[in-house]
Amino acid sequence: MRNHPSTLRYVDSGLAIVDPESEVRHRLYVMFAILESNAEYHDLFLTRKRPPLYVIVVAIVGLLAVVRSFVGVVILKAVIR
Amino acid sequence: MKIYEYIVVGSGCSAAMAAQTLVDANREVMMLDVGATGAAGKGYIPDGDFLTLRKTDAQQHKYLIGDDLEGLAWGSIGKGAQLTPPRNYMTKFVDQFEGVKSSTFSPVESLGYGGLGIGWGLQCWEYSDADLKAVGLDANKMRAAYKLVSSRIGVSATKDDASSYTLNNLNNFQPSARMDESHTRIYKAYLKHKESIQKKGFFVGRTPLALITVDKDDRKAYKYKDMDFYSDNDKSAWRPWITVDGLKVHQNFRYKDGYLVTRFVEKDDYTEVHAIAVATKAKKVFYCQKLVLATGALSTGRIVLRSQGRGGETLPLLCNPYTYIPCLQPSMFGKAAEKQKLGFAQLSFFQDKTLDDKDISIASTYSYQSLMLFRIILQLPFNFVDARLIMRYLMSGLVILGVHHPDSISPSKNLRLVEDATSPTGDVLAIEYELDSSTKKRNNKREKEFVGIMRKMNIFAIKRINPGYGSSIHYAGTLPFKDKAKGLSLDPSGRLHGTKSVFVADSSGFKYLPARGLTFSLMANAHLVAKRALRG
Repeated sequence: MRNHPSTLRYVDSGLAIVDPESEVRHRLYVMFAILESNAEYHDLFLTRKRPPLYVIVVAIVGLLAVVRSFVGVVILKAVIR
Repeated sequence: MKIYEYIVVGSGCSAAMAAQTLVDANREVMMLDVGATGAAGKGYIPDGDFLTLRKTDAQQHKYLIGDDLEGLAWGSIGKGAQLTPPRNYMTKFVDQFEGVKSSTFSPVESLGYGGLGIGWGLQCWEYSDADLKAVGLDANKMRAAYKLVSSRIGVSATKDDASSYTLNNLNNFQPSARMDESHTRIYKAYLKHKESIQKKGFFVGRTPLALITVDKDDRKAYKYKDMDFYSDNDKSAWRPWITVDGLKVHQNFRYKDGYLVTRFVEKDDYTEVHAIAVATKAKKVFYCQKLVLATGALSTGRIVLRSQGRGGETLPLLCNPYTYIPCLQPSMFGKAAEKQKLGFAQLSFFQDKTLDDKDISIASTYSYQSLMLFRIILQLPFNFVDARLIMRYLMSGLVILGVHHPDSISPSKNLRLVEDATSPTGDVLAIEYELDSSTKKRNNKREKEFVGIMRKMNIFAIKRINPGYGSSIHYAGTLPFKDKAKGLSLDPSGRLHGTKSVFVADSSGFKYLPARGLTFSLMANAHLVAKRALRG
């Protein structure tokens, strides 16, 4: 991951399925909470008014998240092997 | 040696009520307590609503996640997961002094100033007549005591379809706080489908809360700041420390903190109260004419077992089985965060198919805003980046349904003391707790029915989460009421059988634990026990 930071999102996705309590997820969780409790970034974590069709955006994000999870699991299995 | 007229042990909801009754009767009272303190009530958190503080307060991490990140629970959901850093002191010293050995039961106990009342959800339900009979309490006396407690702490409620399950004949309450948008929609849906919902044996109404909506003494009416999980600013939510702080101005009341009571010894004219100083672990003895134990069913069980030299004997244990169910309310998706919001339970659902208010299960609903995204993000099987985007949209439509079931005494639920040289008290509590298969089946069926009713109101369950036995934080029954002395038990007035002057004012005497939260009832009972202790 240090050599390929772009894989972090995929590794996180895979770990969310195969090992949700892993050390990597723990560190990301702590960073997430620190950002959320910072006045500068608070707005990124609060709900805001969205138009009804925004549900399509969320559905796409959800689908991509599922795809990333599959890719993440494959990456993890390849690394472990 | 100084002999106090009364020593009240503990500073939680029942201790505060018992002490107030004794102080009001002009008796000399010392409250003996560990009394760990923390941030929630002491002006550590700036005054303001949740959204404004999120935007402006550079120090918000102190109360949102804690200086030492103590608010970041990691791993499986367990006891006390709902405690925020400012309320963490509720469980301070507990692991050190009140050890528990159990593979099935994980209790939350408190040695804090205000006891478990520090994190209480404020729900004030009267027990029904059937409940009171099963619990072993006198219905007439309890009705009067409920009124008195309501006038002391301030209760807000509404007369509605569920009033017969919540208020009985209580009439000295203030108007309920306004519901948030999510709950207004749920209640509208209930009213629309009321007939069919009631036909299925479900009744829905506002949850009575120990929350004032009209100024009372130095306490301010609720301001909808949505900071309920963090601070007691304004004192609109009643907490035991508010009453105990009020008692401190009386000449006949003394509060002594820093001591854990371990046992008592009755002598001819007085009672010795043995304690350990939590700071130094030095032993000290206090003296009183009458002792009122109000440390909670588990701690009182410990003290009585040690005092009677019957540590190996098993005591029964009651605890409401609890499940919580995160649900989605699609009509609320994509709504902006609400600036004015009530963080406590807003609606209660009563499942009473036989319409006799016996052995019913209860659910309460909460909105989710001020507990932050990071607490729920772990539940999603996605990476953090995508999970944030998804939850940011869904969170305004997230409703948490908390379901409580009743509990009865059975041999598979018990506790006893076992020796442990590493503990400052020399022992730990060994707890066995397992529900029989028919009760599990019944609870499971009821939870599914709650989910079905929610669906009718366009609320959809994501999954049912069982945080494990002990997670309801409702404990009782360790010294059940008995008319005649038999085993370790209380007489119906709360005096410990086999003693002259030791009274128990907490839930230890309850022979049955209704699904309705017990706090309001244990406060009413504590007042009655104190009245009995006044009589000689």
